[in-house]
Amino acid sequence: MKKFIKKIFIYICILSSLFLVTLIYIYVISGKPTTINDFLYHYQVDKIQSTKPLNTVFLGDSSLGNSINCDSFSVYTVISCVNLALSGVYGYEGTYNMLKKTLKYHPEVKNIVLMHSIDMMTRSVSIKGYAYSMSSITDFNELNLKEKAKTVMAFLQIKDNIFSISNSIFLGKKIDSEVLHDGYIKQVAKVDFTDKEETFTISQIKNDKIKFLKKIVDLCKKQNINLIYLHGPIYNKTAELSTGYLTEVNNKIKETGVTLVDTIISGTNNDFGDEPDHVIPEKKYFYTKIYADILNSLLIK
Amino acid sequence: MLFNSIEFAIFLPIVFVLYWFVVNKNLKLQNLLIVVASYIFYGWWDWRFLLLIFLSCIVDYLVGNALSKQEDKIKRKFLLSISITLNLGLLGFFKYFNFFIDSFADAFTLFGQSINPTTLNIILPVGISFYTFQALSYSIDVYRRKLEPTKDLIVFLAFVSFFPQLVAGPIERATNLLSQFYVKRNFDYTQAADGMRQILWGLFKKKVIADNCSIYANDIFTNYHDYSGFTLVIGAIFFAFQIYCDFSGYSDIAIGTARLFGFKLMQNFAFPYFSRDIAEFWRRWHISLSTWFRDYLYIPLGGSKGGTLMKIRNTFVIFVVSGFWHGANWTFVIWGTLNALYFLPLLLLNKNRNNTDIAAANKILPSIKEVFQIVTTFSLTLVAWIFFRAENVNHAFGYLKQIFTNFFQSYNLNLPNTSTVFFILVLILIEWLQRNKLHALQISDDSSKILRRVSYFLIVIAIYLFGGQQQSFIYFQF
Repeated sequence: MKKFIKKIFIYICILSSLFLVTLIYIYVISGKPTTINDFLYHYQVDKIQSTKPLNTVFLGDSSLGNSINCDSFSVYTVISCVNLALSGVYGYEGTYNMLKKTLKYHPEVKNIVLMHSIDMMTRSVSIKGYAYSMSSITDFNELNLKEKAKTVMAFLQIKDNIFSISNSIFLGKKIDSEVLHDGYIKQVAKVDFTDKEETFTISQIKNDKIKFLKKIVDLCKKQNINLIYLHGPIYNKTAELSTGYLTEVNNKIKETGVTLVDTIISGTNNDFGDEPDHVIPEKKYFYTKIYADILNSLLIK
Repeated sequence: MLFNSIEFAIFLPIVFVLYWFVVNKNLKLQNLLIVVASYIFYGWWDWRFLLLIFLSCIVDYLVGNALSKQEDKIKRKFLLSISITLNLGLLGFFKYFNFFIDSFADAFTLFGQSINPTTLNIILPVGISFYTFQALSYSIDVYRRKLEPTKDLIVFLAFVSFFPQLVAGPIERATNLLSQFYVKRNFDYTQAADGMRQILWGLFKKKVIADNCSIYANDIFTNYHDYSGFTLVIGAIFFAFQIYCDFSGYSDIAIGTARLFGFKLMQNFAFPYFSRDIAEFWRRWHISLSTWFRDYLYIPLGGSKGGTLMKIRNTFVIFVVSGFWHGANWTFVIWGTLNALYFLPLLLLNKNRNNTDIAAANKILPSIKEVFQIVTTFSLTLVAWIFFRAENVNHAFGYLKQIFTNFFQSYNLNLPNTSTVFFILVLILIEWLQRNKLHALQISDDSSKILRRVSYFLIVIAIYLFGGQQQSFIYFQF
């Protein structure tokens, strides 16, 4: 029995040591982003720190990143803005941390525009997204005990980091500015959505997802910032098949007190690329104009 | 709780420490701990399930003891019928009630009449197909006087509810497992170490192969009209590996876990995809179920003694009932029937015991003939698996039709993930090289220490990096 316990203990120690060394390499030694999401996050954070005075900040996920070009938006609306879209993995949770960072560096901001994919309310609370976008112990202390434990666990999930590092070493696939196009993550191959119609239903809504959206609303109210929520563009068939879901989601979002633009901007299969909510680069300026027209009268200049 | 879950990872060491360090000096307490741990394990799904298993246990325990005191044949048969009625009744109600009601209504529709049947919202208790058969085997063996009934209720409860094999087998016989609860268990390092290896291999099969194959197979089976026949064949192959790795992986974890506690469970899978004919396949696939049906249904019906018609009848009964055991769907019945059709020619030509040793015995590579036999047998089981996996009969036939009518449509190709293909090949290689062992990681202590340890680490790293998203075991639905 002693021999058995000793051997199990040794194996656990060796595996734990290997894991620890990998963790230290990823978070301490490496010094650079090890995943595309991580690279995007740091790219957007650098933008916050380097941008001149701002009027409007766009926060959200990939549906935002692929559909709004801020240079064009500024031309249409004569408003200075920046697009700080992360990916859907970060959720409202990562958006909340980005908001705090933005307000720290840009207290002059008058408008915050949130744009998330229409399916955001079907996703679980992303404590991982919160963890990866925290910048200080204050952010960590905001969480309850269960969330804190999940945050610690999130830092132990390094599979993607290991794969990225391996790809970088063995396949030469480096994580650098080459992963971006027009200020956001480059899309992969176009998908034909005509046979892949997706429907979102009320039963898929995760009610606890609204928690961090409420925090965003509360923070903006406290700082007298005009907060507007928009859904990201979506493939028209998905929108048609999900009307019940969208009505319910809109009700939940409105309950938080945010100004919701409940118009759903949808497009044909040809407008979308690798995901049914990722506008193709060629149509980005077209959709920017659509959103500029919608937002122009709502933004404080 | 699932074997591949954090809860089990916490549960197992606690039970292990209590078992070997706290209650090890007292056999009764050890057995009681097994019962308590097993009920916690099972109740983790739904505490209401405990009432059913407890009821089944109490009735079979009382029936067993009553049988030992009863000499009258008619009364003995009556007592046995109580056990059979209760166990099969529970199974029939929870698993087949809605199926029979819906099939009855469908039959009326065929005659142009429609009825609106009342179906119930019945939750299928996890593992009911397994523990009812395990309990039944006890009652039948006591009835046949092959076994003395146990007077110790705790031992009986432990036998039926033993947590490693409770929810998905192996379906143990009282003659094997029950007696092990009477004997003091002493910790055996070799057994425990090999048990850990078996658990590791089971986790590898489940997490790295089964869970990843399921993603691809589910997509192909759900959207089969969108893909070429070639892709559908790949989808079926992936399902074949999914179900094998899922189920045999579970069995490996179950058997390995039992060995940590000093128990020996029966082998449930003996590398079935290396079988050279269907008869051999059924000697190597889900051995505990096929031998159960052989001993408690096939042989009592006359087995392969008697005339040709009787042999045909008995073969069909076994395979159709076996199919039906898997679930309340006509697809399982067709799956069973297909296997009966595959098996019958071998039985009638007396060729069903041609291949009783392992393929390429004492050689490394199989002969051309053996390769042909293995591929043919695998292909036959593949067709049957399509029915097993399909949602309904139309789905299965639609799938097969798409294979044969649109095989070469290359623009509807959907190729699987490279890493999953790689690991399937690794599995085939390792299991081929170890096909004469009880499990693929049964490595003797004489072999190179470094090689052994490196392989353990590589498997753990593969499980961590390539393990698919957590899925429950397929056989839990049975």
